[in-house]
Amino acid sequence: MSILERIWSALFTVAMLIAPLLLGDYQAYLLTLTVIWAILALSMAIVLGLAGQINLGQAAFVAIGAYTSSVLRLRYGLDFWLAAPIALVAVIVVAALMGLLTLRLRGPFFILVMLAFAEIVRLLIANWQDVTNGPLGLRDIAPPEPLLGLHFETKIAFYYLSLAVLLSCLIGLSRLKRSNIGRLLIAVREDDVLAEFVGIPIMRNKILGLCIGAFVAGLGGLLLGPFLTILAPSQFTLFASVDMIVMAVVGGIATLAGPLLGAAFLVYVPELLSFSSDYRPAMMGALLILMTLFAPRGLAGLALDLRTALTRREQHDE
Amino acid sequence: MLAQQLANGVVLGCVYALCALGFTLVFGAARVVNFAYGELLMIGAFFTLTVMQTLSVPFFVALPVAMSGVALLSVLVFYLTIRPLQRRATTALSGELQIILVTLGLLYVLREAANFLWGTAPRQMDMGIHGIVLIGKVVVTEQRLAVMAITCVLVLALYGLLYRTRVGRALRAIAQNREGAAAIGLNADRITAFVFAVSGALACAAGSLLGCLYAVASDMGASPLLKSFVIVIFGGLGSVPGAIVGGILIGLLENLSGAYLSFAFKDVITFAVLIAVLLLRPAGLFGRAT
Amino acid sequence: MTNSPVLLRVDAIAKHFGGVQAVADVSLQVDAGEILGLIGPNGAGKTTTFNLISGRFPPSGGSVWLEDKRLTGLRPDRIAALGVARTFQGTRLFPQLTVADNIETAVIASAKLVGRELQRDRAEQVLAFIGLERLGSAVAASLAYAHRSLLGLGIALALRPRLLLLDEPFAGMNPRETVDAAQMVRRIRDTGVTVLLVEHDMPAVMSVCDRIVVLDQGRKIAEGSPADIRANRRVIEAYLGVDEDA
Repeated sequence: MSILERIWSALFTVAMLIAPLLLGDYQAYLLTLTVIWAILALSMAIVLGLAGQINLGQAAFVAIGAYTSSVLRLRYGLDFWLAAPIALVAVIVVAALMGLLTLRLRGPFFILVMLAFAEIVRLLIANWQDVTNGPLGLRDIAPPEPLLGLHFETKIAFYYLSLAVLLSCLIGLSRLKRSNIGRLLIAVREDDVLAEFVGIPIMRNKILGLCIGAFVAGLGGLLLGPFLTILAPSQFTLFASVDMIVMAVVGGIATLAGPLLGAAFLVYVPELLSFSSDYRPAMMGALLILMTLFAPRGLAGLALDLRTALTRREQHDE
Repeated sequence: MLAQQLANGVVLGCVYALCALGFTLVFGAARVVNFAYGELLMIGAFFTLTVMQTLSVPFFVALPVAMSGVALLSVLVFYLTIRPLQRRATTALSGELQIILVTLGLLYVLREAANFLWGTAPRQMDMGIHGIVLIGKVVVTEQRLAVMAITCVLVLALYGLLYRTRVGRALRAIAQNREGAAAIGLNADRITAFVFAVSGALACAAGSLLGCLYAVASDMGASPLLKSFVIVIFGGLGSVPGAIVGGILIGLLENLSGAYLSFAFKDVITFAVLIAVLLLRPAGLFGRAT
Repeated sequence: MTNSPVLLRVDAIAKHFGGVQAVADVSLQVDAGEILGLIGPNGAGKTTTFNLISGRFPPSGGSVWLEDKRLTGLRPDRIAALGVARTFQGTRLFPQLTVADNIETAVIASAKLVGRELQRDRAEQVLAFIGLERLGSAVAASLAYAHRSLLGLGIALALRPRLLLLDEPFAGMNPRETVDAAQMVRRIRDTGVTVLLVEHDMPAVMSVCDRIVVLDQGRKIAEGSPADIRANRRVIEAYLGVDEDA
């Protein structure tokens, strides 16, 4: 990481650490929401970026993470910290299976099959009354039990937990990008034909990309249950996946900061504009169109362009 | 009872075939998967309804007017959003994916626009044909017969267009080989725009027919979109006979599984069939493996 | 050269696409350390043969062997791991990565267990060999055509291949550039790499190849030294009116 990047990361971390202490309850709630959405947006950016596909079924991975952990806790009395890894394993296994079956399909085909998959997951959740309580959903999901002396019952404590998850993801992904595995993943994204002829097994890597994205989505799902305290199948429709896509596209998928910007944008802009939730779909649609046509690299891309323009002008002046 | 279900299934299948035709044409000519297609269908139905109501004309007069309207809308969509992306050098995401993103965005925008203009409550559309016909033991409403007739007329018109006009020949050339066609001077963009127009007109027709059979509502586009997708994949992306055969088959499948298996799960069954077909034969029944 | 072991053996490969027989029956072998040229008029099937050898798609019949290892039917990444690297006409690159990253990625792909430092060293060696050291931090997508081709070559060389397959390496070059490129090919051979190239540019092929195989309509019609080929009647006829001022 360059010096500038290090400074930004440090500033970001400090800001995020202090923020809830300075904000009221509602603002703290918005911030936590932003953090969780940032995790989900990140997961979509990973799939877009590494597997090179639009996954309209990403919400299903979130659902599997959320529901598996919450059901294990509510119905079988498991501790959050035991349910969580089990849920994550479930997500990865499902993602790997779906990836094996579908990643060799071209764009539109993949989208369609994943859409079907997501619908099937949702219908399963909605109809498996005994386990998931069907359309009414799960209620009174408790915050995570204490771990190693840390308590998560208060909203602020939960915020810090979510932040810790987000930061861990960012650090992990940053490391991954520079690791050998990460660079091969990126190569597959850049040109999968060349990658294959250079000796990189592309299916394996695309599946890996999907699984990483699914894992992060599952992490978001784990946090969603206790945060919202209710889970229902209606939360995990196509629209949820599109939400994630819009966040990723608005923010930009090429950088780690992108999805964060996208999540923040989608939480705070409607807030600031006192947007009625009725207009939300129209806004999402308009954003998708405008960003793709005019700013395909997202807000992060625009920021990078701005910086390049400024530094070039500085060099000019010298 | 079976015969009845079959008959109804065929009629439904005809409308689905019309849907799928519009969808597959655009793919064949421009390699574009138009996620906003269902919304064009829905807007087409509303256009017909609106023309009928404001101009006080019967369905069969309103339909061609509405079809032209949606054709125009479709061409606009192409020039404003899809063509710029087709020409763009890929940066973050491939052009194909970007087009999908944009059409997804259009899906939302068009649906909200419809909500705004016409509200969310479903409406009835009256074709003006009442009465029933008995074929053996099967009861067929005259309206359903009209639906089949209109479908046949449109399909024949489409075949005429594809096989007997210069434009149609050019279209088929471009579908076969885009670069080669450009080399001999065919203007791919103008022809693609034409295809979008035809596609829009077909969507409007399909939507209007569905509106007569069931109802017109702003959320009516999602299901046909999905089914067109299924049909076109089943029949092969870009294949006209595939769309027709696939449409009728899916209409039958849906009706039969709804009647004999489970009404709630009929969509799941259609999906499951889709997944199975895709995994076994990625190019569909009639499609060419690209 | 006749005492060198055979590195690549192609046994009666064939390929049809739908109704079209692109390659009917082609057999050839490449000795270790030689530069073999594969030429033929348009539609002769040389690109298809090239793609069959590199594993782009499987043949309809016949087999390809690298010494005693069967290459036929292997996925391209397995073939690369066995020591066969190829370039692409029009050059494929990793567009958003820098020139150095492009090379390093190929190094990593082929030498996963080697340490970070060593990987970077190897990448630098390749960069120096192809002469792009000063463009290391340039983004691949921004390179000029000539540099793109060099980078494509560098990516292939980074795999430390035993056999290098060059897809029309002289395409789009003026005579001066062709001379430089030919010299590059010879330098590569001198490092111990065997080269098989497909090409349209006759003078270039004549000047750089040790042996030449000529295809026409999916079959081999001649094989031999440049001098032999130049004088071969069948070859001249196959090219039908192409001026052979070699």
